[in-house]
Amino acid sequence: MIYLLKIHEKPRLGLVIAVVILGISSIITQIIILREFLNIFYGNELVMGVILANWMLLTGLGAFIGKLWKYRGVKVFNILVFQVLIAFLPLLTVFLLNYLKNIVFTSGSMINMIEIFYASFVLLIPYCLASGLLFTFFSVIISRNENRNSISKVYSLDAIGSILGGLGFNFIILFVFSTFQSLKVILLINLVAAFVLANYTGYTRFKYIVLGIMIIAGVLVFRVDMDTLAKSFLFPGQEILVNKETPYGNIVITRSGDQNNFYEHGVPIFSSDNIMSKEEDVHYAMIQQESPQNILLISGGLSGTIAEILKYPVGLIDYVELNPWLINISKDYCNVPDTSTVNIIISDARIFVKSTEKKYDVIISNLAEPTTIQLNRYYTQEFFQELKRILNDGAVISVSLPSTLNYISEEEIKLNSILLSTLKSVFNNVLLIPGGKNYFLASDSILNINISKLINERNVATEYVNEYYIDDALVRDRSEEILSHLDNTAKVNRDFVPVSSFSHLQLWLSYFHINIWLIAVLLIFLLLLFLFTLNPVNLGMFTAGFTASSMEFLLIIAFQIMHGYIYKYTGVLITLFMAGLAAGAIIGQGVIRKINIKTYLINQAGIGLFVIIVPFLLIVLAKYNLHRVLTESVIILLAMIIGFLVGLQFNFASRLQKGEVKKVAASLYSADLFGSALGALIVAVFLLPLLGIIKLSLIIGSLNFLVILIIFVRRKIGTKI
Amino acid sequence: MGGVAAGLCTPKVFALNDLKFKLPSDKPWKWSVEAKFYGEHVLGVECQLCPMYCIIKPGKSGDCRTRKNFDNKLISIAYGNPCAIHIDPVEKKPLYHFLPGKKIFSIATAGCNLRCMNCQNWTISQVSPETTRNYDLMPVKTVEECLNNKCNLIAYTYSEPIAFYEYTYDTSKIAHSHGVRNVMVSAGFINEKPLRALCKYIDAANIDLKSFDNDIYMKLNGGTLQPVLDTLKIMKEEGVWLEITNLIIPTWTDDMDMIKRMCEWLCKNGLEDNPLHFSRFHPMYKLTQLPPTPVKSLIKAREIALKAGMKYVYIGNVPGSDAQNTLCPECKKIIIERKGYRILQNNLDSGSCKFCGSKISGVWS
Repeated sequence: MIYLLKIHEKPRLGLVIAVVILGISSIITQIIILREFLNIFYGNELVMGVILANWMLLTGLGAFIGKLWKYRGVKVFNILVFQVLIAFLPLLTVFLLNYLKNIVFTSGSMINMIEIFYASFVLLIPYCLASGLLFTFFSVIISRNENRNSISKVYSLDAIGSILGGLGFNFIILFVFSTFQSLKVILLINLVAAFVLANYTGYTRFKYIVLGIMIIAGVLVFRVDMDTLAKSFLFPGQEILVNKETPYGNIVITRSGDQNNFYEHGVPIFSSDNIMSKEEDVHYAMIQQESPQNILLISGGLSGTIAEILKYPVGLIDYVELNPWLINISKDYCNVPDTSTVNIIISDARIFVKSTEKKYDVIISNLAEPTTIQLNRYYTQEFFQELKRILNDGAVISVSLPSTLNYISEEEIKLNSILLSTLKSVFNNVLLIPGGKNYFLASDSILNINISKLINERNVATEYVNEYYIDDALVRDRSEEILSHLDNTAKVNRDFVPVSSFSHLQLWLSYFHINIWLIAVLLIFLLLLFLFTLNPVNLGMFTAGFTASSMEFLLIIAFQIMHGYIYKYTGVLITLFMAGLAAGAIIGQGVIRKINIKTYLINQAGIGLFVIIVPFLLIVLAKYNLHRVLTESVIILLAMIIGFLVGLQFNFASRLQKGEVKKVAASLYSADLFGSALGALIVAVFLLPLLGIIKLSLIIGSLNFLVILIIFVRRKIGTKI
Repeated sequence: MGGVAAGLCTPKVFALNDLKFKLPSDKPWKWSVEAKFYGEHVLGVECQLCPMYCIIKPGKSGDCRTRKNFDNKLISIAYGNPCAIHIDPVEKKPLYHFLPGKKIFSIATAGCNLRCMNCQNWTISQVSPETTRNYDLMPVKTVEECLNNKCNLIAYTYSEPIAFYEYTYDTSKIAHSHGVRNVMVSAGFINEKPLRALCKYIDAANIDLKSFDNDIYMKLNGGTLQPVLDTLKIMKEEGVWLEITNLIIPTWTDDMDMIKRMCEWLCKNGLEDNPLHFSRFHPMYKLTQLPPTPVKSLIKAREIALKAGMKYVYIGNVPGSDAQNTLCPECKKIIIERKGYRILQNNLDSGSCKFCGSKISGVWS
């Protein structure tokens, strides 16, 4: 223990760097782990919310456990040990996730909601507890060194780290490194941080231990191609041809037999040799037109659909695909006809549809089902109206939902009814063709269900969509039967009231016999529990966290609705939201010298008011279709303002909360995180789809005022802060 | 099907609440009948219909969700209440050697005694008849509707006829008395006694032999292998026309050694004359993270089966495949040429090859 004598526990710069690096590594780890979880499990808002909730819950719990340490007992040494630990944990977590998926669960199967909850909980325990604990340790040590409450400073340094990490990941790491390479970078950054901190503080022996670990890690970890190894566990029996992380998700191409399989986000999107789906996707719509000339194909052009369209003497095929990597990577593995007729456009379909001046005879949408609010945008009344604008007279559009084969369940009835009534609100005629999927054709002209007859008459060469497989009379009868179950008065799916994605979520949960309302009851119970048990300051922080994550989500979705999904813009929006947080926390500390509970409540009221105003601004922006740059700037400004107000609130809370630093840090940080987690879940899964943007914002705004009232009443009856 | 639906009474939606309104009789609702094959048990009753041998406490249902203990009397609540009724080509079942080209009146109630992760009819098989929208179609009416729709065949299909055993049994019996033939499309997970009783009225069956490995059966289907093998032997003995389907699922049932063992077993047990359909898997229900079966695997499996001695081996779910045609095992000429669900040419002459005179197994008239 002699070396301890040389140790100085007040390395200002060293600690500042260490907190920033924690922020950097936390955000990158969070992004990577979330992406991996969504690839391996299932990517809807509920799953995302559950994983994020577990993340925040465990990190909050980690911060809370920090309270158990004796104040004087917290040393830089504790930080060093945990820094080394969290260097390896992300790598280990992601590897175990890939390795265990097909061991713990049925190979190739979708995991159910409960399993996702506990699997993500268990896997996240080590990293999240350690990183939460580190937040409390840093708060204690820096406050002790500076002889004042510096929790807000740690919060803002952590946020600065998150900004740097977010930017670094979104603009550099993602484009340069694979998943495991990125995690190895994290490993290195954390070890370097530990080395630097050990050097600053004079933990010489530890410094050399870290150096040794770096060398061993370099030999053992850096030499192994962990990406291929991990994916080989996920795709047994298949040769992995491509494994590419792209901004829009993970793309994997495998070969089994003589068949190439294409996966996006871990889900098979198509395989070569799938005659049935490529023919159905194309011919039901194409055959409706006497002589279709201009075709717009939205997604799915690599699965052989273009060759099917080219069986008609068309003049132009505009094929719109969101992910440029999908096109570039896949070209070598699938047969896309090289002809001047085909025009590949890399864009979000909504942006393209809004901006194009061309007119089409047939529009085929091969997008995935409305499993998320992001995908819901392609099934809304607004989108169909946008499509109608670019249709020639009598033209037809085709969209699809999963097949209802021999029976249509209650959940499927809801989902199909919503699409039917949404299409009917825009087009005069809607036809349902039951097949491998439920194909909905819509047009202002008459549509014909006698597909085989038409195929015969026009002499189109097909393997599957023809009289040998498709009996027009039976198809008509089945179509009529399904339609007889559908509700013509079902809600129309709107951009800002995304009922389709909610309905799809209900369908997905029905796979596992889980009732969505049970989840709602559980979440409301948790919300009430926090509302009525937290002390006033923590309650304010909890509500601020709840509001912030809800609004961040809302702003991202609003932008996507108006101008499509642009990966980089979403990254910038999240980063600038974090910048707002950091600025709020820093300015609160430096500028506003005196604060009391009134200041706190006024800021809370400011948050509430702001939230109520936001949807009206968004609706104005959407209605007047303003210039893109202006919309982008306004939405970013809104994100920064909400971030700033919440950062400010954290600063006020940390100064108002009485008690030991470690307790204040732990409780505020966890209240913020719990609020954020619950907000993201409740809003994304229930409030937005069920209430729409205006009512949702009114409710969240009102929640802030309710909290003010609760705090006011509690103070009246004498509850201590 | 519209004709069928129009001819039937309006589909009714039955909520769970309906069960609360007990009829004055000893039945939970109209669509129920006392189950066959059960015995007493200290905890309630023991269902003896299938190898699950569910011990069912009062008020509870068996694994199939269709057999309910009602005051210690086992009641089938899947009786006269099909939730799916369609008319299909017989080739769609698939049955290739049983009255080719005929249309078949196909019915199913909710419920199943297995838990296949790739079930394509999971919205009915994995729920109880209490939660589906059902037609009111008692056995007599079922046969009438079948005849009204100009069908001479009834298929008990889609979900699992074993789960609606009593309905299948009574309907088949009535159907026979009207000259209507019965087809069972099933996983074959049933006990010997009830199976033999049912076979009296079943003319043809397609049994889904899901794999040839007990472990896989347990993990993927929630059942076991041996009872299904027994079913194949019993049906053969009872003179039911039998066709076998084997779905090849990548990484689960695509082991060619296992397929070879399966085919050898089939031949050894006198089933080499019964058609074997290798079917292509597509991602379905919970098994959505696997690719479709490569066509190459299906072709290879077919070659193995033919080599093992199976005489009629087909490939399903692959449009345009030549392996839909029936070839004469002797002269190798095309006996029945199929395209999709249609027959392009039929070279049968009184059940024999028109070219070489060899007998072609099947029920042709």
